[in-house]
Amino acid sequence: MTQREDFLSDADLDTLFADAQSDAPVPSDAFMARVLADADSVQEASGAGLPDWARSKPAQPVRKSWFANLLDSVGGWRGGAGLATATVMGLAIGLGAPTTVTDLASGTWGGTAVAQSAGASIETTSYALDDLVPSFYDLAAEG
Amino acid sequence: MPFDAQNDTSDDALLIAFGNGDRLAARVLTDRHAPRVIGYAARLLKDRAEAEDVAQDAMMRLWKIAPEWRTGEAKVTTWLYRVVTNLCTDRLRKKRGTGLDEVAEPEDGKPSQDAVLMQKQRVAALDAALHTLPDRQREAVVLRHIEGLSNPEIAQVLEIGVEAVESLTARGKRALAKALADQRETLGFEDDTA
Repeated sequence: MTQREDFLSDADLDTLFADAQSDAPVPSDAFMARVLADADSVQEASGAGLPDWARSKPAQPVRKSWFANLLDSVGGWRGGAGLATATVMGLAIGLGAPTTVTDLASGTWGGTAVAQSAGASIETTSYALDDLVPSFYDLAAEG
Repeated sequence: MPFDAQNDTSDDALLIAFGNGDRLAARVLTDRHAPRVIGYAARLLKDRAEAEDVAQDAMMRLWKIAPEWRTGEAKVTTWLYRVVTNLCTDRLRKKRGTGLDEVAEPEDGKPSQDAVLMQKQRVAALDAALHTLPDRQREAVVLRHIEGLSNPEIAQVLEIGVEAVESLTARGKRALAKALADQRETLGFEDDTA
């Protein structure tokens, strides 16, 4: 069973609350100065009070075209130029040297060899030095 | 706009004016809210210097949110109380981690006949008793009985339901009444129980 003396009355508590309400602190001058300085800095940073054209605008993300993205993925214009050159050269060599490739695929260097293929034997002769160099005439003939 | 004229301006209007570059609006808002913000923080933290730091931080957040402030969505006071509550909660958690959550006992002493001294003694006793309460009870009691907020406003500040607020304030008040009962005479209430 709760004794009345075990608790402060509501009226006494209300007196304490009223005392606390009237005990509101007065901000110091230093505090006010700090808060107002903060306010100034926020206004200056946001450009508040300035016309719209004078306010700093947030940086917009740069949008790139698909071609620019593609160029970036191969290392920029230098990489792109190198890749294009390599592509053209590879195409030219591929089209211009079928004879040499055939020679290389079917022979060995420095003597006679027998290539086994599906049970049949093909005898080839040794290469001459110029067999390893793409023929200018072959390239010219292929166009 | 003259300073006096701005004293009648609503918080919302002042905040929007501040966002539009009105420096005087900051002064009026600070004058209007800083005392209660410091008082509330001091009651939660029991440290005036720390309370001023929290109040400055809360006001800074108010300045920053000013350009995005929308009239009618929230009251500036409610918003400030919520920010201060959260900032104080963070600080109290950190303090507990370092074992600094000591609750100062109210000063012993004979009841003074001087009204001012008696008031200070009562406030000190109340503050000490408040710090024996759990955080949420203390926040609810201070907001309800010292800051004078309504239960729905407290519900917004503490981000809980109104019924939970009622429960917190009732339990908190009862705990205070019990904690302060043995100081009845010291606090000048001896005649009340006679």
